[in-house]
Amino acid sequence: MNTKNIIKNAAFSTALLLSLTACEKNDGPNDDDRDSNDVEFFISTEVNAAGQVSGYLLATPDITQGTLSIKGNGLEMSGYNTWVFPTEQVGIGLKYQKGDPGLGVGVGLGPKGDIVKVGADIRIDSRYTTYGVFQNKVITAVGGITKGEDDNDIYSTFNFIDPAQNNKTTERTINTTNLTGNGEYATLSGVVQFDENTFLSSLVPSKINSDTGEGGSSTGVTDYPDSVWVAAFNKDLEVTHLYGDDRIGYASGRFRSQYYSTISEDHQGNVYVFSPANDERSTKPAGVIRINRGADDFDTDYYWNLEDELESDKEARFYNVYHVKDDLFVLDYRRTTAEDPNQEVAKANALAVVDVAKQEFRWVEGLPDYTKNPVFGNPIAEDGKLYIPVSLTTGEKPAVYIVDAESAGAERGLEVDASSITAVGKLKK
Amino acid sequence: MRALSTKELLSCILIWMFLVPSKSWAQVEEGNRFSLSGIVKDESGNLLDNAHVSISETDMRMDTDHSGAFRFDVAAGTYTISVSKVGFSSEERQVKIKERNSVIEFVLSEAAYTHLEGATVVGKTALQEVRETAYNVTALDAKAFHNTTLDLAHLLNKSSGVKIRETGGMGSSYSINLNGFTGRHVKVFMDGVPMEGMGSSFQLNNIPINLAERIEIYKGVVPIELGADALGGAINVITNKRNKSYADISYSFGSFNTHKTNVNLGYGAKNGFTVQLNAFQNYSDNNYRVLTQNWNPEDRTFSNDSVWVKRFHDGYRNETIGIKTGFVNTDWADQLLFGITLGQERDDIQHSNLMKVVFGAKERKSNTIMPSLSYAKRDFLWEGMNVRVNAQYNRNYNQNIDTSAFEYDWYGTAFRQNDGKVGEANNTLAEFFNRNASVSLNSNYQINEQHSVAINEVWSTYRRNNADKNALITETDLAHDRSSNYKNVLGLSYKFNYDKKWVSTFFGKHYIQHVKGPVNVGSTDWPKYEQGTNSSKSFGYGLATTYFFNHTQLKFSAEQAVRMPTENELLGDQLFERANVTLRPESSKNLNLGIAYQKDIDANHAVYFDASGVYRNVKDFIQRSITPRAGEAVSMNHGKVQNLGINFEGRYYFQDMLTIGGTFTYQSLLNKEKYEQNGKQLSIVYNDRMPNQPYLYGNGEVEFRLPKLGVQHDLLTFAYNINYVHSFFLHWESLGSSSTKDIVDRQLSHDILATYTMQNGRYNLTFEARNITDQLLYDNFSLQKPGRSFAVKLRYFFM
Repeated sequence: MNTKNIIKNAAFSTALLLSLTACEKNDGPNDDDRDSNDVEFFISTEVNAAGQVSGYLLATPDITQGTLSIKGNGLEMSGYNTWVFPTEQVGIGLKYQKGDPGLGVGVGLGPKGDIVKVGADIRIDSRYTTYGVFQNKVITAVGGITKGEDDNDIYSTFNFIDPAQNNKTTERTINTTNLTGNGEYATLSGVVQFDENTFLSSLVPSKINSDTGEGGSSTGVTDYPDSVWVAAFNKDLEVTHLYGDDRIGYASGRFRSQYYSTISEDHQGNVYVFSPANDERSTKPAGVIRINRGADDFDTDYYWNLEDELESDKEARFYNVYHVKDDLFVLDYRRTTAEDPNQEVAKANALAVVDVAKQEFRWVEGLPDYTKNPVFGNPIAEDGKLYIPVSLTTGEKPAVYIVDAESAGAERGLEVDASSITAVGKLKK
Repeated sequence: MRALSTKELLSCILIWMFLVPSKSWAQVEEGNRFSLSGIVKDESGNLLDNAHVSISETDMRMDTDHSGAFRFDVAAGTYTISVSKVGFSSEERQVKIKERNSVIEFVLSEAAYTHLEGATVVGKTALQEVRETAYNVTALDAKAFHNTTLDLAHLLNKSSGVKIRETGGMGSSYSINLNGFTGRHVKVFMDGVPMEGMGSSFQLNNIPINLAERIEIYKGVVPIELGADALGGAINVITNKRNKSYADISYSFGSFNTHKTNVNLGYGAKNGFTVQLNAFQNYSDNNYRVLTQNWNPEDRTFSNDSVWVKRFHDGYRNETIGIKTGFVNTDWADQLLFGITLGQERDDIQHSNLMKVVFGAKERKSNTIMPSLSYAKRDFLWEGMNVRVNAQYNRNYNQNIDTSAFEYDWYGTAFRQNDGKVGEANNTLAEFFNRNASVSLNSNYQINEQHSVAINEVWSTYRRNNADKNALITETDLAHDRSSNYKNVLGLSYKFNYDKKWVSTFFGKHYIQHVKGPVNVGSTDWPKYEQGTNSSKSFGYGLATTYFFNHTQLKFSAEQAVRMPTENELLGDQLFERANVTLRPESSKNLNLGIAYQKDIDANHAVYFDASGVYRNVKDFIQRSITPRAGEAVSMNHGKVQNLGINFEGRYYFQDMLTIGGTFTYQSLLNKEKYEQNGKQLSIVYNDRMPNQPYLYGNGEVEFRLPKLGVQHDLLTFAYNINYVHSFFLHWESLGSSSTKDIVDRQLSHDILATYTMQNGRYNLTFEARNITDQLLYDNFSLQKPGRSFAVKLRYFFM
């Protein structure tokens, strides 16, 4: 080989390098621009592949039909798996990170039929095990916090995220020991706006110094497994009123480290408090009691034993309660069936419509059968319907199902080409 | 290209095994050939092994054995025999071959050190020997960079197919990306001993380059001598082996208050007694400027716009000392060395895995104690049988400290935390002990010139537990975190050498693993942990073959490689990781095809090219996915990944004065998993490029050497480097609106180096300017690396 050839070779390899670098631009398929409606549905999707979870947010005017794709489409927003809507215009996404501070982000409906970021990104250093909306702010809370050497006072940390102030977040830690007067500490479950100035939260009690285990849980053994407490807090996190009863156990949907809300208001302002009977030591069956509008105590005349409605499947347990219409609520149940080896954890796999006035319990028909272990995302309720994302492991694409509370029937709506739909919501321009 | 099935691969091997030997026996019977034999010595009469001997008129070549001897079978005639060895000047002699020949004696004189530095293509250095094996291997000559301030990790970056990804400046964590494989799939060794457990104060990114002679990078197919369940390849750092007294002392100072010192001293007595000391120190403030969103601790919001700030809490220091003593070149041992390495490290943590999440007080401390023993002997029981034993124990102590009552914005302003809160991320003083031990035995036996066999056995164990339970403060710490792992890798290989022109190796590896750890047998709310165990076995095999002709070498290698699941993947960690005892080993079919060409065109010009194509097909990927909201992870066998790539390396040499070279890597790394993890649904990212992986990169270099500048034995060297990495997406390329996607931008940077070497390399002065155009450089999304920096290195070398 002579020098000429060498130069030729070098030139060739340079050309090869250049040609490969030339294919640099990588715009996916064009985002299908359109003008947004004033109000659209928000859809949070997730793709879980090759050990990586990535998230994409979509907007759509119609959730009852059709198909959406995230190929070249959607706001990339990975890891935000909790979506809360403090106002009509804003969705707040939260991301919990192991060992590192959690992060939050705000989104809104963009002009081109898309979801756009709104307000500042935020950092939330404390974990959260329950959350909700109060006075147009997102409130998150976690219990079981100790301070320094003092083991006899257990605290809870709250974060208030205010979209009206560029997502300014305020952290508050309060002592949640002995709120019930029996010396035990409380972990809060649910943040449910009650009236203009207060929100309700169910108290999950634990003995001081009880072994809380290490599953990320902040509660341990209680001496009062057959009692339920609901506290009303004002914006300064002072307890303005405490409701207590002994007909059901504590009111919280326990799912691993999370405490889902099982308190919900009906159309007339009566508050229904559901207990899934999570505590193994409780002798009380799953049931519902009620605080009538304006009352200072639970309605002693109202009680409904939900366990009796389950007939053969007494082991079925619910996690969340959603008010849909009038006296109609939807509960998500884990019904007893073989666990899906493709799922990491056994989750809720069936929905039930309960009429708290008539005390009528109906399994929702028209959903994928619970034996197929469908996975539910966060729903929204509107016009007597519950729009709930359903993802399956049996080959079908994830879709939003529309549950009609009156008929307890469900229909398949919008389908999305992704691994799962984690949440639906609604956003206004 | 389609993957070879196990059956096909096996039948291939069988066919080779039967066909090949019968052909070679026929060859031996050819007549009219005479023996040409000789020995090679140095000036003091020591026999030199591994000297390279070649006959110019033929393609014949071989290395001298342990007694300095070589032997060829040739036809009658006159031949030019050249002999070379690294560190010695080459010799050439014409010999007339008759029926009966006397033994020819070559005496090599020691080369002036500058000859080593000038990377001329003469003789066959150890480097070339490695390159010429049948494996898809890149050998990097560390010696050529001994005057630079590089650490081993940055040297690795110069290889094709390799990308080192750092999270920041000195002391930041790094990962090795080897042809698309990363993390647990790539194993790193030092002189054949696994570096996994060696502790963070003795890792590739802080070991100075002067400790190494070369780095061997095995891509895809890994020889049995490196006994490990490496799915994607292995890296072996070969340290300097000088059997005499020497001193290599250097100090460098550079931007961001960076200081590095390295002292290498060795003493060798006539009776073989030797003492070697290696000590190094690294320090940096890492206070380079970064462009980031600022954080307002009062509002707990990030600014929308990015600002330029100086890193204020990223200091790093590390001190390590290693001593080895024993005997070399005695009757009973070629090497018997006892060693101990002590290291310590302190690292300020400036931010989390996103740069905008800033910390101002978090830190990490660690220390390491590593005793070691190595023994090697040739002709151990009988002639041709070589034995090597390595034993190593590592004890690492780590502490994470996050107890500040303050939090900080990016300007370094401290804000007292609300409600007496302590800790910026996760209030902790957690301490951990890791303990590792490994013993390896390697033996090979040369049956005759054509056949040799080798066996390699590695036994390793790992144990982790908390050092101080009282230091656990938060519920997210692990109170009974204790797990252990025992692993045994047995490798067997057979090598067939046909006339030194065609060399093939067949090998098999057997893995046994036994893990122990806590498993939750209670419920989530009231967990109860019991010691769980899991055992598994696995088998891998492969072949590597190479053929030499006309300055050209062809290579082919294939391996069915496996990686065993780790104890964390199998048993979980009680809190964040769920156990999955049903995990299978990951496996990969690795194929490599390569061609190398090396020629001294004439007295002035020389070239070297190496191009290889790689194919990887990985299945049963162990994937870790996080369950939403619970924040818990679980590992599952899911996923297939295919990689088709090319690696290219080329160099041109003009005399001793100029070298132009470069490397180039392109890999098409595709997700080949058709279905979703959760069942039968068709995956939307089937055939999509794997996310967060650099796939197109390269670097180039030009080096000018101006010898005899003013003074006879002085040398002035100028070097220019260009580094390029193509942009890549953090998440799936095809998903999401392109304007909203997280991306690691294209990286293009330039470095300039100048070295003045005096008295044949005894005194060296180097000036470096890196990233001279002050580009924003990132290896990982949002984690900015240093901008323009300067350094000066002073080095004294004596041997």
